[in-house]
Amino acid sequence: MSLKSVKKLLLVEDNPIDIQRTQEAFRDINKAVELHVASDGGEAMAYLHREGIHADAPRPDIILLELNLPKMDGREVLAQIKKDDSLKMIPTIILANSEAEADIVKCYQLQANTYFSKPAQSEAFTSLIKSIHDFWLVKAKLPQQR
Amino acid sequence: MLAHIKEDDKLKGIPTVILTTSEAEADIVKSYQLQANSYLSKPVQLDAFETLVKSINDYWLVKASLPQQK
Repeated sequence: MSLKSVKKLLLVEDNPIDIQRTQEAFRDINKAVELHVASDGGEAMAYLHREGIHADAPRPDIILLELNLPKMDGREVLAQIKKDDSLKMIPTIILANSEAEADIVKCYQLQANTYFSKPAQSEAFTSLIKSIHDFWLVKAKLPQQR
Repeated sequence: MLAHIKEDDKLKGIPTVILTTSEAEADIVKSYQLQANSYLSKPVQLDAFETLVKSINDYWLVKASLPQQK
């Protein structure tokens, strides 16, 4: 597989169990996926703006974002991404523990690309990661990296 | 059309997926800039098209959480 086809994802998640099961699911589906992890909202923004230790961070092809995060929460991270002209094109997919209608409506208003609530059951979780992989990294056309 | 939807506070929360025959990079970039929820190019071949429609159905109508209609 060529280097160009390596897809880079940024997972913004603070729960170690969810980080681990997401990493394992992607490892099983496609070894050419590079999964970077930011464990709070502040770190996610530093990563995307390539600040400090993230100076050489690759631009992600897609972002997977939890809503309830320490420091800056996911709703604020989403709002900042979608009002930044250099970042708003990156598909940002919400993977939330919340099924609250208010969160779903708010995230689509802020232009989240899709909203999913995380299944607790591990098979359903793996199946969701497969769907996200298939839809975004196989079928959808993504804007080229600059 | 996409720009109209995404500028209207009442409509912009509706997921809008671009399904087009164009694979031009300029169209892809512009659509994501205007906040299309996704961009898919339409396969010419019928069975590939059916597979794509099934995948849209599974992703958006089975798995995703969508905002309720008011």
